[in-house]
Order: sequence, then structure tokens, then C-alpha cells
Amino acid sequence: MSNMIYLQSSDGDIFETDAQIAKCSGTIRFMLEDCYMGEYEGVLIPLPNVNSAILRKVLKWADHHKDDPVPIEDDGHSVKQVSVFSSWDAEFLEVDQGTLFGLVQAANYLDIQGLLDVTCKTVANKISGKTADDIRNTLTTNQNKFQDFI
Amino acid sequence: FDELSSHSGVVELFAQTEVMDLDIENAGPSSRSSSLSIQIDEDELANDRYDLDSCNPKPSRKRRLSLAEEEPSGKVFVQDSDDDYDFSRLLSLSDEVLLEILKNCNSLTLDALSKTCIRFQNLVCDRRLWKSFDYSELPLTLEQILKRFKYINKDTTEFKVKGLVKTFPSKKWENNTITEHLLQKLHILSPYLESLEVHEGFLDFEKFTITEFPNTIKKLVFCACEVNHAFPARAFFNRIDSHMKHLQELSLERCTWFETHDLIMFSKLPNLKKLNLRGCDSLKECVPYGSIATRFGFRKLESLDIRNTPISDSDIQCFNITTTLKELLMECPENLRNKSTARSSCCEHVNEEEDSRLIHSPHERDAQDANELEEGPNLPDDLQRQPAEPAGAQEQPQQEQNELRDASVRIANHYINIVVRNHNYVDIQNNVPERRGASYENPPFVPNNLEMNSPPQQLIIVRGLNCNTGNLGRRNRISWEIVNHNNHQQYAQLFYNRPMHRTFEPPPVT
Repeated sequence: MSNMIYLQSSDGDIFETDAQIAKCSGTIRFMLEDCYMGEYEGVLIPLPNVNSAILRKVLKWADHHKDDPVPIEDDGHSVKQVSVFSSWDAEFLEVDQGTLFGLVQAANYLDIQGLLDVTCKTVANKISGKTADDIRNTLTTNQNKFQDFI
Repeated sequence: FDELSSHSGVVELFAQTEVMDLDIENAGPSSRSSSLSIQIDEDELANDRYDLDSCNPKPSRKRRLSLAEEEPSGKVFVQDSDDDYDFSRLLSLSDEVLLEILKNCNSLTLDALSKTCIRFQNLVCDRRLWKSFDYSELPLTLEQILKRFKYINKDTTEFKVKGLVKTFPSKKWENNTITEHLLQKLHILSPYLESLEVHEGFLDFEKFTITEFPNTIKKLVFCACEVNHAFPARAFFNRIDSHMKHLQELSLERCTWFETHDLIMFSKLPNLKKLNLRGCDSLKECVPYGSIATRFGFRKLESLDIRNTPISDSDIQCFNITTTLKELLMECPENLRNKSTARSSCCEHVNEEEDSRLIHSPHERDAQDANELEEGPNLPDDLQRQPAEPAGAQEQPQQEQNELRDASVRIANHYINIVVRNHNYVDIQNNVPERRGASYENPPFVPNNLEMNSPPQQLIIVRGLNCNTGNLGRRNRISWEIVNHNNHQQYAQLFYNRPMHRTFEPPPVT
């Protein structure tokens, strides 16, 4: 069955998407199944923390990964399965810093573990190898002026 | 607090930095060594100075590195040097998200981040980030290691440190990498430690023995370590067998202090599966101890790495009776190599990759394969002196000055993986009469004197001169890779019977 639902980004744009794809997000899945009791055809879900550009990217990612096996819920103690970093993901994440961080935040907010893993890994790769001075130099900009730098 | 000030001799500590300084003091040792602690203190000073400036930040400001320890981290991981990424928005992410990112960072990156700002400093202390305490890339003094002990918690299962033996060879006697104090502290902080690695460290064997090490560990690595030679190394490994009941993997790579009598101790380890003696120069003529060790011990040994050791045929024969061995890695040391087989280092690099593939391969293999190994009929001893059999179309004459022991090596045929490099003559024994192996379609398990037999599934012989492989190739589970061999055509005929994978590569024309 194909249930279309609508997602509204923070800038007011409305995206139509398949519920199955949207359900890769834990937040949306929870909302659909608990709040709408499974009767969710055509519902509109506002996502005030995600803007249109990011949401478009997220949906693109979700569409590509819709057939991925569902990760088994771990009990918090078992080692998490290392998600495979496919070449598609690598290409998908060749974006500017703002988009990348936006994706990290969106993945966290929407509770999409797979996307969170790959984006965090990408950011971590960018950081690793830098010295403390390199990192500090890029951190000490105006918008961070209230941070306590060492 | 006072202690730190007295170290540095400068009392300019500001309220903002108090948190950090207290942390350092808590973890810091009471003792310190002369020269290097000065560098640490300079580091703290520089940090203090910078903190003053941070009220009035200058992004372009370049701080000079006063810090010896920070330099390597830049060199070691140069992955994304092309794009000069800026992280100015990193701090706009929430702590929760930052932690997710930090989970993907290694210890060195975490270390660097903790030196940038207070927020990261607090985040980095999260215990979930330190399952692996891995400073194997960054040479540290004992004091610097102890300073980082604040990160170790009971979730930590890996402890890897790197000493200063290579960095400051002249001072090596003064800088213990591991002390009794450190080990005690480690045991208290991390009671479930599984892996302990010391790279390029200096160990003072007069002060402690192996029994001071945590007895929970499964993997113990001393890589290129130096020891205090005043004391015989024999005592160090005493009682390792009763102490480390869980030890599965032991590596003494490039440790010159290894003595063959240690083999006796190792052989008693009840669970030892992997033994790495790569580059141990003293592993030669190990027959007296080796034969006893293998006859009565090494009950579970599966993998033996004796690359770059001046090992002789008879030493190999010792291990041929170890019935559980599946994997054997051998490589002739540089100085013993025949000139015609010695090659450039770029090849060496490629081969490293092969290694890693090989080492992982046994896990994929059928468990049904009997990991049996049995000594084959010996060849006459004079093979040791003649470097190679009629070496096919060999252009260069044999270098007779290598009257060496690597001239002939005989290996039993029951290993699953064998890697042999740069040995002049390799003879894979096959004492299984072919008539017993009835069909090529279903390679049979041929009962032998002991238990079950299976041919090596993977044989890689790189840059040897001659290879006699008996009739192993007749069984189709074998994959062959014979690189830079002169008489590859001969093998091609030998192994025509469809092995799963084969590569024959003639030596490059010089």
C-alpha cells in the first residue's frame, strides 16, 4: 500500500512523500503510528527544525536507503553494527559545511540512525588529523566569541 | 595546583583555566622526569596565554608549536589536507550531536579537541568515547601518559601507548614507558582491560615482571620495545602462563630482547592462538627450546608470524608438529636475501596489503577444514647449502656469499595460509600419497598419522627463486599466487587442475 503523507519544512514548503520512506525517521514513525493510530494517509507533519534544502536532501537519502535492512534494536550494551559507508553516501555528503551540519542536526532531530552515522563519520573524518591549533583557529570566529578557548 | 605552578615556575594561572589545571593535577603524577616535563609545562603556559587572548580572538593568529607531542598527530593522519575545512559552526551543534561525532574520532583527535576549548574538554571526558585508549601513534612520556589516565574508565578495553625509544634514543634509559605504578593504576581504573599494547616503549625489567600486568588481557603487544639489559629477560616472562590465563594473542614484534627460552613460557599459555615474533633477531637456533615447547605446549596456537627472522629450516620443523597451526607468515630478513630476489620497497608496500587480506581470510573459511599439520619427510640436509635448484631461466648468478640458513625451508603441508617471501628455496612437503585422494572434485580429507589433513588453502610465494610444491595443486581448494618467480611456467603446469584462484607473475626483466 502506498500512503502519501506531507512534510512541512520550517520555511513552509510542503513535501509529498511515501510514508514508508518517511518512516526511516524514528520521530515521524512514532508520530504516524502513535498519534494517528496508523490512519495517516494524507496527513501533514510539520518539521519546524528542518529547512527545505536539508529536508530535500534527507528525503533523497531516505529514498536511496529505503530498502536497507532495518537495524536491530540493540540493548545499549552490544556493539553497534558499523554502517557501511557506500560510495553513494560519500558522494551524497560532498556538500558544504553548512549543509553537512544541517544534515547532522536533522538526522538527530528526525532520529535517522543511518544518516546520523554517516554524517557524523564524515565530520569526524574532516576533524581527524588536525592539530589542536588548526581546529582552534577555525573555531575562534565571531560567532563563537563566548566560548572559553584554551 | 601548587604542584603545577612549581613545575612551570610561572604562577600566572587564571580563574578560567582552573578547571583544566585541576584536571591535570588530579591525573598527574607526583614524580617527573627532567627534560620532557619542561615541554609539557610550556604547553600549559602557552595555553594560559592563549586563554587571555580568547576574550579578543584573532582568527588568523598562528600560535607557534612549542609542543613536541602535537607534531606527530599532524603528520600521521593527513587525510583531508586538500580542503582546509573550517569548523566554525561545529560549536553550534548540540552536545548530544557532538558526542555522536566524537564517537567516530580516534584518541589523537579527541586529544587535540580537548585542547581547543572548555566545552570540548568536558565532552571529551565522556566515558563512552574511551573504549579504546589508543595513543599508539603519539610518542608520550610516562608523565604524559599518566596525565591522560583521567580518560580511562571501566569501559576501556584497549590500552595502547607509544614510548620514546625512537624519538629520543639517547634518553631512553630515563624514560620508562610502563611502570609498576602505572600498571596498578590501570588495573584499578579499567578492571576489564582486554588489550594492552606498548609500542617503542622502554621497560625496566628490574622493577617489575609480567605478573604485574593486568591478568584479564587477551592481547599483549610489545612492539619495538627496549628493555633494561642489566637483568636477564628470562625472569620477565616467568609465570606468564599461570598469570595470563586469557591471553590469546602475543606479539613481540621487533623486540631484540626476546630469547628463545621464552618460547617455553609461551608454550604453556593455555589459550594462546596467535604468536607474533616478527623481526625478533634472536629467534634463531630455537630448536632446543622450540622443540620442547611445541611438543608439550602451544596446544591452541593457530597463527605464527616469524617474518624477518633469521630462522632456519630446522626451526620451522619444530613448529611443524604443532597440530593446530593454520597460518604461517615468513619472510627472509633483508640482510640474508639473495640479491637477485631483493627488490625495491614499493613492492614491499603492495605486499603489506596482501598480508592484511590473508590474515583475515581464515575466518571466512570452512570450519570443517581440519587444521592439521604434520611433519613431512625431510629433505637431505645439504639443501641448506645449495641455494636453489636448477633455477630455471635465471639471469643473475646466485649470490654465494649468503651461505645462509634461508636457503631452504621446508614447511608442512597442512597450513591453511602460508606466506613466504624472499626465501630462496621453499619446499612445501606433501606426504599424502595421491592415491588416497580419490577425486579432484571432492578433495578428500586424508587421514594421516595424527588426525585430519588439509592442504593449504592459500599459498603465496613472493619473489623466491624456486618452489617445489609437490602435488598440492592437484586439489582444487587451493589458491595460488606466485609472484616474481622464474619458473612460473613450471607451476602453471603443476597446478593446472583448476585451483580457485591463481596468479603467476614472472619476475620483472632487469
